[in-house]
Amino acid sequence: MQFAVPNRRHFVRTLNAHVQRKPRRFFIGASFFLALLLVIVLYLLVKKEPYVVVDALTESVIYRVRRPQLAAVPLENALVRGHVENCSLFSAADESSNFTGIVTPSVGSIVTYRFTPSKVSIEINGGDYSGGNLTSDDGVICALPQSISFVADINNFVRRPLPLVGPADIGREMSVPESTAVLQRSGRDFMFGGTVQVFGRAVAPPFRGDLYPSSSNSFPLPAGGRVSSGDSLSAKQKDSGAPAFYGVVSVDSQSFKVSASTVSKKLKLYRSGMSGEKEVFGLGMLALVFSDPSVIFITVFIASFSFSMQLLKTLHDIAKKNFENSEPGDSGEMAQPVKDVPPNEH
Amino acid sequence: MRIAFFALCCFMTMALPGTLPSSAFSAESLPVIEADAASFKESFDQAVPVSGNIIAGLRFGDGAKKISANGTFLAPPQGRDVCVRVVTRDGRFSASNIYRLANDEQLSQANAAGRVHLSPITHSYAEKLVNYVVDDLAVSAFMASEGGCAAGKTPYVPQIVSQGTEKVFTVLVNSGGRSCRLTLQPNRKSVQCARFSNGARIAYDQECVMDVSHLTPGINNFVLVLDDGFNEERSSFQVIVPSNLP
Repeated sequence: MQFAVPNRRHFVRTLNAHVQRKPRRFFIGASFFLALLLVIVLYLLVKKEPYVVVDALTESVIYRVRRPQLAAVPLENALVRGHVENCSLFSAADESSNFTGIVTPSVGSIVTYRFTPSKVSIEINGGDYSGGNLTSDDGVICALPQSISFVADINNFVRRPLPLVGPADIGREMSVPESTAVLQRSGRDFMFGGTVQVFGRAVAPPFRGDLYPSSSNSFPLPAGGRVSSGDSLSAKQKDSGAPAFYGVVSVDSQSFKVSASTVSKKLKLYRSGMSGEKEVFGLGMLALVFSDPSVIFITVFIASFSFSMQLLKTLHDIAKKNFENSEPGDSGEMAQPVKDVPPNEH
Repeated sequence: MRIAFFALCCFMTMALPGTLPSSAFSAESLPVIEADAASFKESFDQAVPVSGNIIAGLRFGDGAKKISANGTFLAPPQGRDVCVRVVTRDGRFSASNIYRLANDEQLSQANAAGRVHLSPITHSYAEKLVNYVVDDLAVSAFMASEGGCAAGKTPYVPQIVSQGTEKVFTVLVNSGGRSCRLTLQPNRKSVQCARFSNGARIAYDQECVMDVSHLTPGINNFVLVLDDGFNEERSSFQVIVPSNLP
């Protein structure tokens, strides 16, 4: 590095010599290098993760609770499957009891919604800890056991859909049936398909951070797959920090209708297929910087700049040429009177 | 430096299954439980011929290691005939066969050694199976009954993963998306099963892991409780636990 400063003049001189010797090669090389640099800078500008909207028809949704207050579900006359200890809402002898009030799962617990055309089951699993609490309309609060489920009539959720606030798995991959009992089972978990819409985030001011639809922003989700944020969704394991879905799970005639958004560069799809592995939707690729409208400003600026330079150079060349063309005539016509009229000859 | 280390690690990982000895135990010294090669039933990436079952596999030991096709071991069975169903988690490979110990002497040898060598688990797809880790291949072995193979009616013979350093007993479950819990009957030890966090869950989706210290040598009774949020399904089964676990 210490020779950089003393040799700067030498470098410029060498460059000049090079340009003069092989001008065409130099300019092609230099423009290629500059263009590449510009593209890399633009590419590196993309730091904001795209905004993704998932719409899916599915019979099951499972998620890890990130915000307990948003995850609370009001239930009316729901069947409690499990035993809530030391709770005045239930008598100790009750094998199956009903509950009316609000269920609030705890942070990190795993909530599973399962659909049937008449009933919805909400399972809460807190792993080694309590799954959350129950609040009756009278204000009685009871702690939930580690694992419990509530079965409520589907009408509970017509007015108010179920919340989805955390990393989630939507649907379950079509798997090997374990026995013919699957035909009779009430809780099912098939995904019937859906769509994913991707929005990019502008990287350049003045629109920095604003959403824009990416050019190919919508693609279908295949039925019989599982869309996943990438969390283990096991209450015993810690939250992996996978991107959370925020949205609602509403009830339709044949399944849940999930509509949720997430901020993520990657969305995983698991399906039974040749590879047996996951497919990863590169959402960051869909929301490419080159479809970012705010980047157009940079493009237009560069275009205008080079256009102005060209224009100025052309004008300058014309002016120079005119000047050079007119110089002999000018000097002949204008100089002569000056020379011809010597003031001292009067 | 870091890149060189990474490259070395990559190379080592690729080289491992081929070059290193597949097990600490020499397979030659153990009694071999064999299947009839002529009627061996296995398939890869076709419709899975074995009917699905809730219990996809049982195992002692760690599941993260690579599979070695000629290094699969079972706990000593209670008789000479054992039904073995093998399936990969992605559902591509499956096999269902009866394996036989040659004579009663081998049976007593197996009991003494605490394991038998299951040979082979595949005839045609060994080079494909080495790409799987033990967790991704479920071995469900159970004693053959009078009428042939009926899973769940006879005691299960767990797989023994020889590389295993963790003293754990694992049941691989095809729960059909239900939550499940494994309970050991006499002392009521109970564990919650967990879904596999990576990879597709096609042939089975959960694993129930229990410390071996809860088990007793001989027949152990288990109950698997599966809950779909509406109803509970219980299935009980028996597992043979060898007296000399690794």
